[in-house]
Amino acid sequence: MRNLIELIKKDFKLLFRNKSSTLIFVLGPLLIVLILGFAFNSADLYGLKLATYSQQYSTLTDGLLNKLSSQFTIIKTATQQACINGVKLSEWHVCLVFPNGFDIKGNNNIDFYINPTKMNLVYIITNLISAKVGEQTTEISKELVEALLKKMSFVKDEVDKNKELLANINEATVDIKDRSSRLYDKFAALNISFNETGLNTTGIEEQLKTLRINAAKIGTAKENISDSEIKSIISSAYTNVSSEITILTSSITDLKDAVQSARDTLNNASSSQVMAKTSLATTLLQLDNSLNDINNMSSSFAVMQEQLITGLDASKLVQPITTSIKEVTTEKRYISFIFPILLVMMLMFGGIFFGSSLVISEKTSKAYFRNLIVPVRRITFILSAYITTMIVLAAEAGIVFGAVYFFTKSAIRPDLLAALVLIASVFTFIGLLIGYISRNSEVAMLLSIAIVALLMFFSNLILPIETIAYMKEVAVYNPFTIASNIIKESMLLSIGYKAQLKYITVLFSYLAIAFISSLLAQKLSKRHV
Amino acid sequence: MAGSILKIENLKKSFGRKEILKGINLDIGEGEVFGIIGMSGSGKSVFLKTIVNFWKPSAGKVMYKNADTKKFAFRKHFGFSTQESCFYPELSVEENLMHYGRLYGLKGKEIKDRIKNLLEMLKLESCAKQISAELSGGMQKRLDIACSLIHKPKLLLLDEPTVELDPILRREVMNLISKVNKEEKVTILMASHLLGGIEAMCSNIAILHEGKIIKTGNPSRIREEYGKNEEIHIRLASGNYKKAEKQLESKKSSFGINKIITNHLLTIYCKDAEKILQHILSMLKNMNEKIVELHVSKPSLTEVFTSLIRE
Repeated sequence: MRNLIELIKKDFKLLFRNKSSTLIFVLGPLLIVLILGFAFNSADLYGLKLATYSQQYSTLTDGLLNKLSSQFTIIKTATQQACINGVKLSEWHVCLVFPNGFDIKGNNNIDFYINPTKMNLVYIITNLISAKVGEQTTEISKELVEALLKKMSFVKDEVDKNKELLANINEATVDIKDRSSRLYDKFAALNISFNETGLNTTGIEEQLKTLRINAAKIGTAKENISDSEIKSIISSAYTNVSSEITILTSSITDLKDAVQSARDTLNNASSSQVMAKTSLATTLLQLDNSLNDINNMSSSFAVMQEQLITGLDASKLVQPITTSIKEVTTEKRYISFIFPILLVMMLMFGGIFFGSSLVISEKTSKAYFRNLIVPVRRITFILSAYITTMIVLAAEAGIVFGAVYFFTKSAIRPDLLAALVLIASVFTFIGLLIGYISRNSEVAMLLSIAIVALLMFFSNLILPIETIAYMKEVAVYNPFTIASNIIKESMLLSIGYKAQLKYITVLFSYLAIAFISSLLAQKLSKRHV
Repeated sequence: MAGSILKIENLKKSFGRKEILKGINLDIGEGEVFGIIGMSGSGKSVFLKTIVNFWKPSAGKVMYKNADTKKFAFRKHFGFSTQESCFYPELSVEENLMHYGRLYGLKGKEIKDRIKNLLEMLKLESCAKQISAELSGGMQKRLDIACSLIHKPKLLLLDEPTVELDPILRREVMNLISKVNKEEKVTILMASHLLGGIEAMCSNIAILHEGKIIKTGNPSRIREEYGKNEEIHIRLASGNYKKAEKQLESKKSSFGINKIITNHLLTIYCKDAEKILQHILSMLKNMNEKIVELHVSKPSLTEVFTSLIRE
């Protein structure tokens, strides 16, 4: 214990004797945190420029640009190429190209040109633009849907009206059909044939012929009548009979004509009856079909009635599912969100860089050989380096938390301190390990930079780890990611450590691995002196 | 002499396939100053560091007072000063001593007194508060030795303690080491390839060559036993050695001369300097050469070392 304290005292003496190193290692991480903190003290984006090009700006395009102007500075370019080139040359952040004849009914595809090399900004910008365009689209959609709903409502009303009418038509048609049917039946039942036997004049003509013959005989016979009176009577009778026969013949002829005419008429009537029957049958058929059609129309109208849902809210149709983003934390400033990351960054930079440089300075020191032959266990040297680094990190964290308390009056929870100690220990031992495996300060520095860069890259800092295709499973176990999550969840979301047990266990594993590796590396790294 | 403080048995050390120490056996007595001499790359540093278990031996063992040096407790009994000074340059002299004293378990008045003693012994009082990086080379070496002695070890290992020091500082450090040996009663095991001060300081030496000890013993005895040539050094007033060299070359076999070297003086290697000196002086007198300096020395350790290595 005494040796440990002596080694730590010696480390601090050396640290304060070398003022430039002290400044770099102690104040460096602090500066990073403070500068980044001030810089990112807001969630807003500033100075975003959006260039647009359209052959002809319309109300629609202007409306959209108006919406975007709240977040972007809008610049209208003369040509499309100028717009795109501006993105490449970083004159503006994004270029919007409206198609010729931009219209919701026709050409409605807007092209966004972005610079994918600015990955961190791309997502924010595309999200912003998508949100604004989405808003505008929603408004337009709402208007369209409202118009549609109006028409639907109108159609439903018309359907309702016409359904009634259709019912009436149906009724009338049915009535017509019935009547037609009855008419048809009556027609069918109508017997317009007649028995010509009764009107057959042949017998009458025969009889008339006979009568004529007999009259002629009478005429002839009368001549033979001497009795003048009788002859006169018979001649008068013969004359009467002859005139009657003539009249009868004429009547018969008339009758015959009338019969013929009647026959003809009846024949015509019969034909007409047939035609009428046929026509009625066709009409009945057509009436049937019409009734069917009317029924179908009625059914369709009924279906349409059912399908035509009115009384809907256009906004709900356009956005059937709405979302509201509720924040689980009351923090409003961006600094609050990135503070946990900054804190972990500070511990990481400090632990790795300072830890490794402490070991390297010991290894390259003139006193290296003597330190290896004094009666002090090797583990004591490792522990002294660890404790020295932890004290420096504690001082840095103390300054940061002091500043936080000064500005926000929010105190730090004791359990958060335990988490910070664990996180700082992990990074410190990683730093010590780097120091022990490096031959000199240059190698140690390069290795530290490489490892810090890797840890930062495979975390949520630069890109979301969900976008890392193949290394995602590894990135999840990144100590930087885990440490940031623990601090974030603890500070901002007030999640207790029981819920974070998995993370904490992983960190403890890393701590054990780094510690044992440092011991081994120290043993194997004996420098030829 | 007291008993053995350090016993090394068949010590071997390899780095990968390269065998550096190939089985070393040594016995170092308590209180002596023992020198390990060898060329650069012979394994001296590895040997010392293997003794203190900085490098784990591949085979063999090292016993400190019958206790294995692999035990952690052994660390309290030895001090080590390396070729390059080993302390924190950013800390002051006092802070370095305080730091290492505490690591060795000293505390309170004990450590303060010890620091005071060391500063006096090693003449560092004037710069006690000075930052170590600002000290001169000699001062830094003294501080390094002080850090090695803060905990009053019984065994002090010195790896090339005088390399990169000028001759004056070198002598100073050597004197210091002798002083430490006498005053602190510390057994010193010193490795060096600079043979200059070794013979005077060390009671025993071991010659390390290609990972093996090829000779151990008292440096004077080794020199006498293995030294092939005595040396006669003559400086002539004329500064012209060519003529003399030519003359001596013609009389090489008769004089029993092994080698003649002329540089800025005439050096003659021979078996028996006493025997031929008269002849050489006569010859030079006949040549009307005036002698400015004359020096006869027994075979040097350097020569012994060189010849043993070559064998």
